[in-house]
Amino acid sequence: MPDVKENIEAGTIEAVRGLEADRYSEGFVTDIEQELAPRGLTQETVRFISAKKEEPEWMLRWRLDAFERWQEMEEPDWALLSYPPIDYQDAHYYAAPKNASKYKSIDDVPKEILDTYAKLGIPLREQEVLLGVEGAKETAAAARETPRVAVDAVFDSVSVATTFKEELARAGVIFMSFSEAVREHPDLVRRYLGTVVPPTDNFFATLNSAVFSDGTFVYIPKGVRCPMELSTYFRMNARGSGQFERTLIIADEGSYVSYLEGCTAPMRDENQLHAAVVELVALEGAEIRYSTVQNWWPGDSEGKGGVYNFVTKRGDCRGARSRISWTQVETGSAITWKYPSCILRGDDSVGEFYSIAVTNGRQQADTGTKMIHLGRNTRSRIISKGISAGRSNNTYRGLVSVHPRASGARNFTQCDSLLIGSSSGAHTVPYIENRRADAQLEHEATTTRLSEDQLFYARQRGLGEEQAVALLVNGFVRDVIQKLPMEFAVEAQKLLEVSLEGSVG
Amino acid sequence: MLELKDLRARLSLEGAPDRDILNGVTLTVPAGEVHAIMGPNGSGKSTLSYLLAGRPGYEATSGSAHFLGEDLLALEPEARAAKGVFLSFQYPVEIPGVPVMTFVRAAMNAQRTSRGEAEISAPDFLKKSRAIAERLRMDPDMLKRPLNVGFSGGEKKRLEIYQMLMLEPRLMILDETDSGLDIDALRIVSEGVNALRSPDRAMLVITHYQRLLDHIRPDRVHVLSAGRIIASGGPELALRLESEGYDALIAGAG
Amino acid sequence: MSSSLSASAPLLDARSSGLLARLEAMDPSPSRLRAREAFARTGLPHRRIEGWRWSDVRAALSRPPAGGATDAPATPLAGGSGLAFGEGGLTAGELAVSSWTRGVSENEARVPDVGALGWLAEALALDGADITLAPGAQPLALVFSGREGDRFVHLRIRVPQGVEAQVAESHLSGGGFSSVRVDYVLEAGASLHRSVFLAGGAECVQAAVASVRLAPGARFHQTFLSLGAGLSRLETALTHEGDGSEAVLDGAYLLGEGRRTDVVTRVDHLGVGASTRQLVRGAVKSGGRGAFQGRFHVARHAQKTDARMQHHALLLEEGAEVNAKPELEIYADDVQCAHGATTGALDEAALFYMRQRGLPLAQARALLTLSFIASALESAPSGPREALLGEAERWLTGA
Repeated sequence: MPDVKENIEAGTIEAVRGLEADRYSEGFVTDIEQELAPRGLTQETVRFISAKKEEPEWMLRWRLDAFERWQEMEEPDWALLSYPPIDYQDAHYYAAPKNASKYKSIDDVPKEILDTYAKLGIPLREQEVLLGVEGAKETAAAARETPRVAVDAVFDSVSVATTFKEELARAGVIFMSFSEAVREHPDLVRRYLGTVVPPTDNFFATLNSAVFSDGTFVYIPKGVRCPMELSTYFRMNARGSGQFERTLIIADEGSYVSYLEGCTAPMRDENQLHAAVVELVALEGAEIRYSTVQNWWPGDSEGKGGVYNFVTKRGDCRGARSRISWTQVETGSAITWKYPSCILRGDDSVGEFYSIAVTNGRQQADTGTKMIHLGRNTRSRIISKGISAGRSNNTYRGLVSVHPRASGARNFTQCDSLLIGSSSGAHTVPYIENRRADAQLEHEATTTRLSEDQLFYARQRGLGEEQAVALLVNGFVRDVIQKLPMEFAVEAQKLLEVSLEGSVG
Repeated sequence: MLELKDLRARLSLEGAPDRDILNGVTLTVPAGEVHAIMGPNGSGKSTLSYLLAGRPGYEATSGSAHFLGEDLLALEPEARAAKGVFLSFQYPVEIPGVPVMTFVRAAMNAQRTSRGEAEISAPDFLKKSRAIAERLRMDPDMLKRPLNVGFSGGEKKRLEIYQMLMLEPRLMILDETDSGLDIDALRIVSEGVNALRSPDRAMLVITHYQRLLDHIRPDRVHVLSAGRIIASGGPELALRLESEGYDALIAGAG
Repeated sequence: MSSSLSASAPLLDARSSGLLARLEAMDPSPSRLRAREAFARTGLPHRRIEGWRWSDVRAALSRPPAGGATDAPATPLAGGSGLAFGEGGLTAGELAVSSWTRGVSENEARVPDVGALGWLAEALALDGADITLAPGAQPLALVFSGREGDRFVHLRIRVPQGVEAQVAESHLSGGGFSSVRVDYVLEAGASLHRSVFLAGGAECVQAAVASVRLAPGARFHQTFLSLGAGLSRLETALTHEGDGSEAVLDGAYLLGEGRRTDVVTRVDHLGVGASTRQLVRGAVKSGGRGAFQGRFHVARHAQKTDARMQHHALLLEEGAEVNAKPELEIYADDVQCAHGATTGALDEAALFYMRQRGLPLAQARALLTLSFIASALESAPSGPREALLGEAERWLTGA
């Protein structure tokens, strides 16, 4: 099949050229009057943000302490990522639509912003909400029940709207922007903030602790099964700004919540910094499912522009029999540095990580997970599927650690990498540390390319090459797609196709 | 020879809740006799065999089990083996890297040493092994391969009987030995088992079906249900079960 | 991956500075100077440096000796002829067919990165040899021992085109700090079996560092057995420089109380159609610590690479520790690369089965453990294979 091979290589070249605007439909800019913090990062910036958010003194202190520590820290360089030095002084650390903090209801939100979210498939008026995400319509039509998704919409540094708040409140669920929570539920925030990701955890988390702007706060009371999917939709819009959101989810004893997160940004030829922190706390018997579809602007085919995505996500299975599950579909960003992790502290707790990471063009991703087994009979499962196309690099990096008290711990890890074209890289860097004889850890990894035989077979049966690739890639990532909530699975699949468009002939 | 009195047992395996699986089994198997234990799935048949052989996690909560007057439950599995307890496993374990002959010879010598006997010489061992393999119509190459690795179900069962004939135990517990065997293999295996029948040996044959008992004629048949013996009788009991099924008997036992 | 410390000049600890000062007193050759510079980038490695997370040399050397040094703790592997190095350098030497000179001549070619302890051995080598193995050469035995002080040796071994040869290295330090660097150069179509036996005292820090360069069609088979040391590091940097070469990197470790081993390999595939097979197995008792760090790097043009890495370890008792980092770094698409790693305890079902047949628990454990690790030793040629299996069995049965 030499012609197939040639096609693939020709296709790869196409792909490098092809990673253009028409394939990133989220790349538009919303024209709206902005309020910006002055460029740069000083103590004054931190005070400015805190004042904008009308924060109490303790919150400001917390930020300032973090800022002080951050100034002494060095940017980590152990990941398989290369990018020019970031000038942390050359960005706006706060950007918001004018008067954003004054929106009392959805009716106050400017039309431009509502249109932005509508265009992204995220209707913010509750009566318009059929689904959280568009693209799943066909599936939803088939489904009897229309699933509903409550949305917190974060636009640059502020939350502009949160839907279904009242209905959720009736179930006792607190779902609001982080800024609101600091004002309305200071006790809960103070009790849990920074207990999973300490303010000085790492360079990027510490930066976030100093300048975080907005994000989502969720509290599910004891024994409550959250009546709908919760989600946050992050949108970066302003030029020269970064986004530093903070999310805190607490699932009290015996409760359950499924949370979705989506992200997009306009196409800009500058690099935008995104350094988020997500903390999850699952108390006894609670379960949190956290799904991400990350589609930040990846930059153009020559690697110009794109979001630098440095994210710290960690869940603490604090109580016995608690469960935290991370599912991520990472297709965007120029740089991804992200390791959603689980601390399995409670006995019999379970941590899961399901990941699809696609890189194309000049993208670089270094992503994976950490499973820290502290409690007895704790179990973890890691399924990672990396797809590298174009001239990208895709690294799985993970840690499975079993501490001396973690009797009967179990881990299973499967890391598969798929290479499309001969100009990309696929890497696997797992760390395995076992200090229990009765623990059982299994790790498997493979690296293969899209099989020419399979491609040919599918084409012989009449599929076009693009279709054949989509089919094979879908098969490759199936285990993970199945873990996503249904309405996200459809979007994720579509996103994969778009991300890989033009990667073969 | 084997005496069980009101034996109760609990299964405690890691990662699973404890479970009561024997609820008072009383049974005497005199020397020279073959007793069959029959019962539906989940009745506790395999548990009984594991308990008698001393599998870790299978724990007697009350009652007793004596073999030749000695408290079986107080002994380590290898000590029971040295006393002559042989369990033919329902699912023989694969042990990569250990050839069959190496393993059986190590086991035989360990048993002999423990009984204060001299180890078997290499030529004697080979001679005996060859004769038994021939009798069971086994391919001699099988004995050079790692224990049970890549063996078919039938080959594994045949290898269990090979080991039984090599080790010449006093109490033989056959756990579902007929599963995985075709008619010819069943006959060969049964001939091997019958060759060991003698006045100073006893045998417990655990089976779901009657067909094995056509080849290995039991002196007594016991029906186990929900961890308890609900009926005992002669060989005719097995035939009755075959025609009427377990349900009728269990219903009758109320 | 660069370490966080390599970017800027590190503050060297006293021991590292002392080692460097020693070189000042010598009249260094350009190779030694280059090696010295490479070593000075980090000094003695410690756990914050990537790749040294599980072998903190700096910490191990800062512990004061408790006077537990012993003579060679085991019998070396035999060979037809050989060289022995002790505290004063070369102590015995006889090479029948091969040609050799004492000391290593200037390195003309590109030098593989062999890590800080490899550089240290080259920079400060008290003794060494440059050996060319001739056709029909007897298996070469190299023995490294000693019980105190620092001992650095640097060897280069060439296997000329088409020659088939065997080398057996025994690293048997009873105490002190030793680093031995051997640079293997295999010419086109050459074939070499390298067997390595490492056993060190509880207080010694012992490193066996090798670079291996494979020309097209060369074959290199390595089999090691490590019984550990206070800190033992077996580091192999292998490069498939051309097409169609073949490497096997097998071995096993058995570690008891107070013994550590860090098995580190880096394999670079630069040519087309080369293959690497790696199977490392280990078993660790309470108080022992094993680590495996394997890395396959497949360059952009190294198509048709076939590389498999396996690491499997048993924790025989609570209190044992096993760490692993099996890495793949792949830049070519038409390749078959995989790795697998497991850690766990002995199979309870197999143990019970063996006990049911009458084997005492200890014997059942020893037999199961031996069969577990044996497959990683079977790639050794006859002679070393039996010797290594014998050592393993002795260790397991406590005989």
